[in-house]
Amino acid sequence: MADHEGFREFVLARGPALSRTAFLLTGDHALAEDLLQETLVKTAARWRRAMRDGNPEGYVRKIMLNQMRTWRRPRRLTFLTVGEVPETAAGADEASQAERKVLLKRALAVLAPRQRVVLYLRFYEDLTEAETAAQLDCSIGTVKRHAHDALKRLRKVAPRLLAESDISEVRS
Amino acid sequence: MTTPLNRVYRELEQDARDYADPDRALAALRRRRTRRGLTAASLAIVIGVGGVVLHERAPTPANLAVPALQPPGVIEPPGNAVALPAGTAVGRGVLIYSPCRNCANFLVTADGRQYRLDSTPASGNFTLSPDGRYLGMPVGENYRSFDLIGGGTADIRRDAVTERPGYVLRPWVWTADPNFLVLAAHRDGDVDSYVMIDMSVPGANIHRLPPPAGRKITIGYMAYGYLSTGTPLELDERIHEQTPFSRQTEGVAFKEVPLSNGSTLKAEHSPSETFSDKDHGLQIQVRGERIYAVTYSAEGTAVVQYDLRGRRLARMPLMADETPLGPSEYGYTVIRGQYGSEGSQTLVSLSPTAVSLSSTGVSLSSTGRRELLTLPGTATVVLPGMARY
Repeated sequence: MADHEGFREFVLARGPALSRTAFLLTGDHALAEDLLQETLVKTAARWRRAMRDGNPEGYVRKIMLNQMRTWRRPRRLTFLTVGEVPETAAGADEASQAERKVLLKRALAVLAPRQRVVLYLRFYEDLTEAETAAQLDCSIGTVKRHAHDALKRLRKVAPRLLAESDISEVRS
Repeated sequence: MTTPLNRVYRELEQDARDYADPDRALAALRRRRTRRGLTAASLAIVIGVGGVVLHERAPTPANLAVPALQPPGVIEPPGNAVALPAGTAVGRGVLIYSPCRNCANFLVTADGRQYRLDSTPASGNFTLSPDGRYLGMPVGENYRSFDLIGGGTADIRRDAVTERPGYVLRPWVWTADPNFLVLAAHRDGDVDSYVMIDMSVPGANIHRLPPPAGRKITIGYMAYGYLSTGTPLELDERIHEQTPFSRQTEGVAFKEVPLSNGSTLKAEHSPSETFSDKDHGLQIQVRGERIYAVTYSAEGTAVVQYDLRGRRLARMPLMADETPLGPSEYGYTVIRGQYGSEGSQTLVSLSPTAVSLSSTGVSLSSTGRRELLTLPGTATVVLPGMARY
């Protein structure tokens, strides 16, 4: 019972941050909800272990990333209307921001789960390739390959997201 | 260093909602442990007695499962129904129904609760997304969408779609991605324009849909479905070769129906089989990568399943008292029983996977039927994924 109380308190306190991570990994509210829920069920089952290291949030994030990478959901059919997103008049920053968000959400939908995880860690969490590799328990080469494939795909489906600079040159 | 992608991620994070529910996670954990315990106990008993090993499929986590109608069930209107609250998450919808003509409409959620839908006009033009997450209904001359999981609502204004007087918004078809609904602005079936609504975006983004390349939107322009490639599947101009084009396809016996993706559906089960006749127009629907067409012949009505290349995959003969509704999460769904009767109707799903080969082709075996729900004899229903009906 005490375990459950601790788990409840933790989720209530850190739920919004974990929700953000789930949403940025999936780009879809329904998928994010499913991903976070599955992560929390697994966390609840191992709550003592999560508390043992004194960093339950790190533990939960690790479960979420692994869950995302190995999630066996039916492949989702993706509908792309990228070509129909209207060009924005210069200065219309809010509209432009909304369009960028739509572009990213749709772009995420066409990426493989591992590619989304790598992009999230590299471009949202701002981790280096070495740190990303450590998080995912894989080699730097694997991280590079996933990042390269993801950016290549993004350039194809949403070039505007990468237009202002060459992201492949971001520090490694 | 900040790159455009860094910045967009920071912008996108503002759209995240709070999905965390510790009590739901703990309840799911309890269910899984109970199930595992029961499975282990069953295995131990069976092995001990007969040495027979049960192979049980790993349980699907409850929160990931597609909501399902739980057969057998009887749906009746609640005595004291609560209106669907705006801005509140109520859970995925599995059915919308009206118990009788001009009665109120009710949403049934995956856990069996029912909510009254206060639309104006009171009937028609409801829709549920294929995954049961989004509900749409008319409110005056506008259209309102509800996110049944996230709790948001959005109004799509008619005048944002068309300025022509007398035209109203009607749900037309869901795309292969369950977040996107195509709405048509029409008057008496005469479509003025189509828009695609992204339900997953707060406020529901509207994208105006251009007509297919080289074509005007005409009275006959009618998308049966949107494929995963994003292209509409509709009647092809080749249909003109069979008849002067008319929106009404009753009265013309189509043996072949050419579609815009280059494929042609053929009714070839028997010489008398056609896709339409003097009493019935074309009824063609798309779900995922499958096309379903209703055919009529001396032997009766049937539903034929095709792939996108027009190859016939299965033929499902209907019983005399069955009316085809359309493909849904539950299989191809029909209503059994006489509409308007005092008694009841039964919602039945046909499974095109339960097929048997015969000399006349592929046909559905009798085991491919599953009774889903019993409804009042005067009820009309809307299933997830159904839009124009």
